[in-house]
Amino acid sequence: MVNNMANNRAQRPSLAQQIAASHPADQKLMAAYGIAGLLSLAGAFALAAVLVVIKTPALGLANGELYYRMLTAHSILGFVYWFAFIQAALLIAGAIALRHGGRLWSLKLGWLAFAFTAAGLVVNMVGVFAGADVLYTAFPPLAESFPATPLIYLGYLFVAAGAFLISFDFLATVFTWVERKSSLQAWKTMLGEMHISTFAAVCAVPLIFSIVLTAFFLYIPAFLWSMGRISTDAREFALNFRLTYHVMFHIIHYIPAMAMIAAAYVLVELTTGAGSIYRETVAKGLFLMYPAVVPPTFVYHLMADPSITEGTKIIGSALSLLVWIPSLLHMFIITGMMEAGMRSAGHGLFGWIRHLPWKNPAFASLIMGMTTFGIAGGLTAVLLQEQTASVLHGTFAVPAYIHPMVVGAASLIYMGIIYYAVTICMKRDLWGPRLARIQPYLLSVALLVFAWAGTLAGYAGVPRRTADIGFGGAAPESWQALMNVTMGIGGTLSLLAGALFFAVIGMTMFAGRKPASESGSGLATLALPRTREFVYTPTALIPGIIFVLVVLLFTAGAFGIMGNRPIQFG
Amino acid sequence: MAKMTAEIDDDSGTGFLLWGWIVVAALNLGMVTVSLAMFAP
Repeated sequence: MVNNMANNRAQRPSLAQQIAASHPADQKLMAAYGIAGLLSLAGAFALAAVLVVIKTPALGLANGELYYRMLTAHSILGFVYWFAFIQAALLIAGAIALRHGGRLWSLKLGWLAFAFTAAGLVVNMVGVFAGADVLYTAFPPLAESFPATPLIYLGYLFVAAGAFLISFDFLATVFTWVERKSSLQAWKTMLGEMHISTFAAVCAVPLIFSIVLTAFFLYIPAFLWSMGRISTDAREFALNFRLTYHVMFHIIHYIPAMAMIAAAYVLVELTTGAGSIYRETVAKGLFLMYPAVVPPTFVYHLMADPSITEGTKIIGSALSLLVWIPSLLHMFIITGMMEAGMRSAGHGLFGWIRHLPWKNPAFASLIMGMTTFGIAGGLTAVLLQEQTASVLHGTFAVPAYIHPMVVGAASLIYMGIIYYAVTICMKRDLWGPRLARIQPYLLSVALLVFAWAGTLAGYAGVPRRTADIGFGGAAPESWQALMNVTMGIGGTLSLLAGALFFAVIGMTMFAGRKPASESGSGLATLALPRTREFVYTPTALIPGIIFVLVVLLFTAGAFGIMGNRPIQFG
Repeated sequence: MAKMTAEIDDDSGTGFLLWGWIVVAALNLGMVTVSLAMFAP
């Protein structure tokens, strides 16, 4: 299966080498995005500390007003700006790594995009701290009660404009790569030659444009409505706002999903030195599935909506399971890359797992990110089914799955990339390699505790978005115990893992050993002496099989628990 | 700076990537436009 294309590719400089050799001005823009993203994430973690204190019943410090303000800022910083900035940095990395010494199509456009995104961040934070306790959803008619709401919609318009401009710059960079634009063969060659991760970004562009289009369609009228320029009744305005919102919000979820998998392909190469034994076209083709299957599945966010027919919900529910197919197959290919690489070095059927570079923090980020993604993904499969979603959507089961997905999976895999990016860009060794080694495992395990206890809390009926779950002593006793574990243990340990990450990255920037050593202080690619040809990957099938079993188990469990409730379906 | 013009030895499947991307991008934007037309606020 090793074809000539792969041989050609092997002779070219690696993605990391191409980025390291890129123009300093482009690197500066990428670093600006990366640092702005890290600051947003640090803010989200800092506010999460307040939320952990408020939501741990044992501490008895529930405070409604503070809770909503902190929750609004936490979710906007974490879900909107950390991802907007860091994914833009990844787009720039993909663009400048297209060819050796390649430049971004327009550096000025890149900075303009950055300015829009940064302005969005400032406007949104001013809005939140001026009292717009509207949560990140900012749904009317709730939003009508807060005079600072227009700043939330305006900030979202800015970040949408920034996302459009940087995606356009990326696409233009890809297009300028082809010299003979009239040659179909040149276009095909370009797509065949680019790295899998860059092709993933190319596939994400239509989704990003869809998000931007929907955001303008949604937030321009919302901004005007919140300013009193549109006189539609808030309840009437709210109905279609919510439907359009879910078209956009649903698609937004898949940008980190695609970027995370793209980053996983980069990390598996950087950490284990393994290349794909399967034809790259297959991996690239799988990324084409996302723009095709993602848009029609937004229905799964609206399972409790009485205005949508039962038939549409059932079709939406069935289609929703399709979105897992490309992610599962990518998981198989990436695990297969590791297995084939390790077994080519002579390791046995399961013995190869033991010899993986577990002490490399970037590898640990990759493997724990994939594990968390698989387990939390099993929880999502329960939440997107018609019968279970309508009962669970307002409970703590939602934050219990989304945190391991966005922090324990996507963000952790991005952290793996950041460990490399900081050492490469700063030309320094990683500071505190022992702390870095612990961090991915701690973050993943902490978020799995959060997911496990939080899901049980959700199934038991604990509501989300409520500061005090005691309800004056009327709530079941189990609620407090489950939330003490979820927030008190899972939440606190996640904060600790976040603090470790920022300590290592911050100290590396300013105190990492310079010049960097060959090994990069624990980040060196695993040396794999090739002793035989090995192209079969049976062990790599196991995670996928476990995933399907977990989905069935969680679904049966959810129906079992709900069957014991005094609720009648149908 | 060398531009990407060279032909690769084995390009099987690259046509699928090109046409697949064009079809999927159009399909994606089409589906979103229809959704927006249905749910305009």
